[in-house]
Amino acid sequence: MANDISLQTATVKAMLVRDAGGKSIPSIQSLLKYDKYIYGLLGLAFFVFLWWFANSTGVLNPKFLSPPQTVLMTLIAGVLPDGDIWPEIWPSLGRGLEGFAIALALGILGGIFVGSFTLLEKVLAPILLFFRNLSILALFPVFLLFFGIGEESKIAIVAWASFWPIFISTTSAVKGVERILINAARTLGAERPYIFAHVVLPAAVPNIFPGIRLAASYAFTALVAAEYLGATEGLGIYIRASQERFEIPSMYAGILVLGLIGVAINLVLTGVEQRVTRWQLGITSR
Amino acid sequence: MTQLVTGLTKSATGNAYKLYAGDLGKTFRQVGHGAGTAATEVLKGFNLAIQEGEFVALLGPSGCGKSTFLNIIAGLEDFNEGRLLLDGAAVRGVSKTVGVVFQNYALFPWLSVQKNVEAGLRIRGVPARERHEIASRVLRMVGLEEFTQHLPHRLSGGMRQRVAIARALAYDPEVLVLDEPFAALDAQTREFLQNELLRIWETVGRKKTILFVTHSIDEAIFLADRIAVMTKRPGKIKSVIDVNLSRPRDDNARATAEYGRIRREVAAILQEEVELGK
Repeated sequence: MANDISLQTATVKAMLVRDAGGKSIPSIQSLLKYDKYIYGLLGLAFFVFLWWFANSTGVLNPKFLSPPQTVLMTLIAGVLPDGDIWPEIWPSLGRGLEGFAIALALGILGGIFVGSFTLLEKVLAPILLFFRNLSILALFPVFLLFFGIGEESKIAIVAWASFWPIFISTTSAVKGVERILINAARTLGAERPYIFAHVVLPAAVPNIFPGIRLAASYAFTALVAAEYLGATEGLGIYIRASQERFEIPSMYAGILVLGLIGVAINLVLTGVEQRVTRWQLGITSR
Repeated sequence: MTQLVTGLTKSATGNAYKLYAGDLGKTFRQVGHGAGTAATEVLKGFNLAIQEGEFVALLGPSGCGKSTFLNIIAGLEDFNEGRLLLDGAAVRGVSKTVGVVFQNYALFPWLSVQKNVEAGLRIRGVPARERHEIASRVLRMVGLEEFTQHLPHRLSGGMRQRVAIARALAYDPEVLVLDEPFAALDAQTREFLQNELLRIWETVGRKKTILFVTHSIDEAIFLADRIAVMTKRPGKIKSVIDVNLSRPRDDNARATAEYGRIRREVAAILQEEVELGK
């Protein structure tokens, strides 16, 4: 591992040196373009090295921390179509995405609504303040009462957890929409529904997105907690069951899969964000 | 001092005025910390009558309520007293026959120039092909046919304001109101756009009725048929001055004796108001 790193550094240096020689100008550019990934890989390699080091030297108890190569092998075997992690992925992903989608729709609609009517916001302020600060764990029993132990309660928990960041960011984004744009639309003859859909929403989207990304991570946090409560399938229950059976590499493999799902969703959302806020290039420092 | 109308809603020819404001009053009730129940009278006894196809400049000291009057015509603000008639009918709320151009453009930053100009047509349910054609034609008229796919912030201030004018013209309003549209531009661009505005106004088949709010005396004289000068707050029309400069006007108009005479007259009236305000 240590050799890998120095090897990588050496390669990077070699590339830089060659470019400095002026032989291949385009590759300077291409290298600079990818510097984020090169540094990221370095950081990642260092992390894996520390993990391996802590395990092999016994700094952290090897019984509790499996070495990276074992976890990786378990992970690969697990996510193959006949592996034991594969059947757990979709139930979790499905619940997570379903709850997140509900939160997205309700959060944006509710946020636009509450953000547009000052009176409504004043009336709802204390109630909203109470609920948004309430621990979701405290509400689990309530969700179980209303939705039972099945899928609905888990989806509802995910939706609840991810609703708040979307709702709150939408409310404040809507209030931040420039009055003059709304006035311009009004003078063009637009009615309220048109203004909401074609002026308020696009103008607010750049400021809604941080809330959406936060909501995605909340969604999967809440999902795992909900699955711990009781589920027959899902990554949360897989991780917990692996620990109970003392199949530690499987436990870490499950955690890794969950983490990678989170990374993938974040990447997708970042891509969507860049697409829908492309018009901001040159206006802000994005 | 013609047509300083007080009670008549018809012009000398018997036709209804295009735009008629009679004894208009507007009071802002101030809410907020420390304001108590204080109320600010912005307009009081405001009388103005504009005929079809006329270009009227509204000039006044800052804070006199000229923008408030414009917002009332645009339907963005309500009024408390008097009446406001458009084509002889009372105006309440936004009228679809009025086009508005704002000082800071107010273009939709996420829409291309083309889509910005199409906005008013889209709201009116004009089919996509037709609105594309109309918008392209209007953009050609303002000289921006090469920038249709640009986003507004890629354009200069002067070009943005031309897009805003094109957007207001696209749905063919009968009255165009402009709120200090060139105030934020540099002197050269401003003069260029003044010429452009006159050219566009004169090329359009049926001349639009224009109310042009400005704080620049020169701009008012160069553009308008009549200049309505306002008093300080609470604002009303102090006097209306005819501008008898021949049309079409070009930069030479700025050098005529008549121009100088009007300039002195307007400046004197404004000076009076500014001194009263001290």
